[in-house]
Amino acid sequence: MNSNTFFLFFQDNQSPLDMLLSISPISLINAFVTIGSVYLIIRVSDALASLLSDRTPRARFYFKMSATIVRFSALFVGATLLVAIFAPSQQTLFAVLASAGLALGLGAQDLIKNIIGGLVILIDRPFQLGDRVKIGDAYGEIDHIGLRSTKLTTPDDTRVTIPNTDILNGQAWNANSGVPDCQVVTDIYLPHDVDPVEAVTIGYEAAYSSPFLLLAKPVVVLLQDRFQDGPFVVVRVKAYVYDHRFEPRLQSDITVRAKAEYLRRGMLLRWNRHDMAPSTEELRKKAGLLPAKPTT
Amino acid sequence: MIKIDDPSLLLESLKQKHRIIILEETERIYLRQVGHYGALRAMQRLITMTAKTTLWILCINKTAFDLLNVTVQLGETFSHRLNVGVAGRDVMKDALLLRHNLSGLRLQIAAPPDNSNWLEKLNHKYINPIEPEEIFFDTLTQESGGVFRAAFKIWLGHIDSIQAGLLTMKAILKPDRNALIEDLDLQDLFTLVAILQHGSLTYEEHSTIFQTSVEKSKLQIHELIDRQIVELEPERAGYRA
Repeated sequence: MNSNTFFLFFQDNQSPLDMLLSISPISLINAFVTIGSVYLIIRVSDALASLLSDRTPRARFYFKMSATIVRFSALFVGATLLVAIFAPSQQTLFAVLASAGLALGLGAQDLIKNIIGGLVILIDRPFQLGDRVKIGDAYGEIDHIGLRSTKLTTPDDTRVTIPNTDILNGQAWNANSGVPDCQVVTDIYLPHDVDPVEAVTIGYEAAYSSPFLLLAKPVVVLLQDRFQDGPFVVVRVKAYVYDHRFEPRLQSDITVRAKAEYLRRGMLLRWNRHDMAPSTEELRKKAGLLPAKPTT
Repeated sequence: MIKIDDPSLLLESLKQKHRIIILEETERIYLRQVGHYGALRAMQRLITMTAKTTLWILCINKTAFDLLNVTVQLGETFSHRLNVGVAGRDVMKDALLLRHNLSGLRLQIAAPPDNSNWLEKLNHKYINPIEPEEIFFDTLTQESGGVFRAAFKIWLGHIDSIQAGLLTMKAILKPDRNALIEDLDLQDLFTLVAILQHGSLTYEEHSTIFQTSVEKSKLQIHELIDRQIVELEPERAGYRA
């Protein structure tokens, strides 16, 4: 496409420079006022949502989601107003759209995909702001759903930015779906010869004793036999935390309480993995294999 | 009461004769910690095994019952649950007005100072107007916790004047609990809940529940004492909310 052909998209004999010069100062002022207003609305709604979320943490999901909807709506209305202010002719509009199409083809397609992804996330709602989700390898609390990307904060306070298109194309695991509580699974490993009833009872008591526990939802403790280099038992405690922000703390609290009691009753001290199962060297010797090469 | 020297004879003794046993402050026979529910479980077994001859009545606060009902299924041990001392607003209002009307005095209740924000003020003025009398009885019920004795005490404490056959009541001011709660950190709140769940706590009990040193527990409880949320239990060791 040569430059002459490209100019054909614009008005008969109007170059892009002519088009820019034809914009009146009033239109420019209106455009700036619109952009400023949109920016202000977004900032105010974000600040308000943040303030209300701090005051009522259990309802934070609604406030943060409202802020996102306000942001997207303000951007949409702002863009529509800008088009109305400049009132381009049909030919100019087509020309701009054609240029945008060309730009997309050349490199901005990912950006547009992400913007559409952001809109789809808002409509489809696989998660909300404040939810605890796992997307790809990242796990944490969603704290921003933007036009281009979604941001989450992991339990170790690291911010992860994920392009919206990656979220649409991949899988997202949501632990709480818009409510503050979520289930927490805690595994505690014990020797294979523990009294199973005692082990389960301690698991229950450890969960019920934790101040982070949500009492309104049930606690389930499961006991499973496992084998890896020797037999052992896993006590799996499934309990709900009243606010998912305390998920690691509930896990830790249950583990500490349960292990302290297992230790007190001598249920952990008895366990020596090598007493029960032969070492790798012994197994290799029995199988007639050469000793494993020492790692350097 | 049962007159036995050997505790192992308790079960047989209870089975022999019809009795009514009332246990008060049941919330004090456990600690919210692993391995400290044993006494409660033993008591549940005893109650189940002697239910034919003994009418067991246990008194326990609601916070502790809610915990123990999920922890050791305390509610399942009993056939009936009586909610004592929690009267609703209308019941409370009727009872107080019935008592007041015997005096033959007319009643006037002062309007409370309006400390609400502009949104609430608009709401009260145009959408949902509230009478001073309604606010008075709402607050009274809330502050008395639905207990008649406490409500009568508050009522008497808010009599302003009696003139020309008119009894004027002062408005009941709501304490600003939100500001107080906002000031408390997570550990303070957990301590407060634990105190409610156990009736009262000593330093040692607090340290067992939260797996901390007794020194830390002392500091924690004293922080709440300084804020006047917790006080020394008058008749026994420990601190109550």
